[in-house]
Amino acid sequence: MRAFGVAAALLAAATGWGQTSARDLMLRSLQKNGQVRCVLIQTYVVTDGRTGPVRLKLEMDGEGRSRRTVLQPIRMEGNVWIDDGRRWGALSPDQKRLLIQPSPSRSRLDPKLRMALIDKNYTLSLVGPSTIAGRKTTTILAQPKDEDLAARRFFIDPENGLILQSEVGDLKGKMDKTIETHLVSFPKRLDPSIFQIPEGDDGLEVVKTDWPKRLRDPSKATPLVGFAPRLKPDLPSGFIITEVHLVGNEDAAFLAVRLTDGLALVTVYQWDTDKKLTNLPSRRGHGVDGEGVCYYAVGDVSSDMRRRLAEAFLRLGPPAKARIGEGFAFTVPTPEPPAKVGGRRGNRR
Amino acid sequence: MNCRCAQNLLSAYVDGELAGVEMLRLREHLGVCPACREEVEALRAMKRLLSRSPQVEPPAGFEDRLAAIVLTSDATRHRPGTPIWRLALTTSLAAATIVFVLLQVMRPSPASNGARTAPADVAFDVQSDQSYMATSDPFGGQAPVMPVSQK
Repeated sequence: MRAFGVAAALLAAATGWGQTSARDLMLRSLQKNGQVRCVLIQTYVVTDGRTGPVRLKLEMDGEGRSRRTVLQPIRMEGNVWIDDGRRWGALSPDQKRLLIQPSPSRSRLDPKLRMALIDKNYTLSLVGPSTIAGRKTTTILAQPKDEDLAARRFFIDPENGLILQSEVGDLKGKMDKTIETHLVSFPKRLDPSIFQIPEGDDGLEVVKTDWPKRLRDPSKATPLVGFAPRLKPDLPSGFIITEVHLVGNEDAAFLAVRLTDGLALVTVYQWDTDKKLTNLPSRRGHGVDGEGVCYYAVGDVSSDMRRRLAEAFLRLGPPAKARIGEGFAFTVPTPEPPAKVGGRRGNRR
Repeated sequence: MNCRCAQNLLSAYVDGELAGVEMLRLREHLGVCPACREEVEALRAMKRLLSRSPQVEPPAGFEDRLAAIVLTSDATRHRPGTPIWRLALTTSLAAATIVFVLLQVMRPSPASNGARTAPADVAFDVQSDQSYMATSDPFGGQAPVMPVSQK
């Protein structure tokens, strides 16, 4: 039996069959993202050093709407994130606060672009079937071509492309779970009202914002962030910049430069250290100061990789600071029109 | 011991029900894990709240009405051996406890309600942005975490 397995692996390697199948499944999973009506109970491992595992109930209607409800830990229980395909609401019952933003699905990377990056930076292979939460899954191993990146393993339901388990390799080659699925169900129908953002609820402080804003021309952000963004760094390990966003608000804006190598997502936040910004982040990510601008990298990569990504911007040298008064001429670009979801969304609410 | 194991034992630990090696391992974990320590404090706070709760008398006729509903429900038909009074009592106690806990949990604390008024809170904005971005990634390297203002 073992000899048969080795022979099959050799045959797969020789013909490239394993590579093609793993790639096809990965691409299908990316393309089907958000298009499966399902309810999942999942545990996410948060690596910020203080949150620990978070258990969520994830409900998706298959038409781009989703609802995530925290089940554990108890101090976060009841926090809800709703994406109605057009807007995104983060409800904290403890703080009695509802934050409404544009749907992050607008920032979703094109699956083919993402797949091209995965092809460039990883070698994919099938490593055998498995069973997760009662569903048969196919396991894909993504081995990085650059040794500074982590290996990743995905357990994908081949019937619908759902990723039911995700693992990342540590420095010693051991795989740690980042997502674990405990229960999966595929209801015929989900009550549409669960995807409605409860902005009319009594006693809620509702904060609406159209931030983060995607910048088509980052140089126009200079007056608002206080420095001229420099965005052509020599990024390590095949990372590329996918988007640049303005985050914060009009009074205290800073940049969020989104990077990916195909699998890992990293944001390098950049802010003017001369601005009197408060409560600077300290525990998560990696920050480097460079002559008036702080570069702070956050993402699902090693701390060493975060440091290297932040320093890639630092090496570009000190950016030009904005002149006094420039801010008055600034206009924020119009956001992209909302992504079309399901074709009937406009009449529902 | 990792966080996942610890989370399953925290309630028993707070109630003093753990013993021996299990308790020692959990204590060791709590010594190095701020997240689980915070969870223990949240559990203790909830138990303190529950212990201070006043006894609430149900309105007149509540038990009769509840028993009548239970008698006609499908669940009762499947369990003919269960005495109705016990089912009714258990259900009413459970309902009262859930309502009480929900009321306590959802009551805003003066410190946190509408706290974020100052504009320049980078840590809050970064965490908020990370939660926002995490939900669009099928590979899910990051979980959404509700940010808490330091203001």
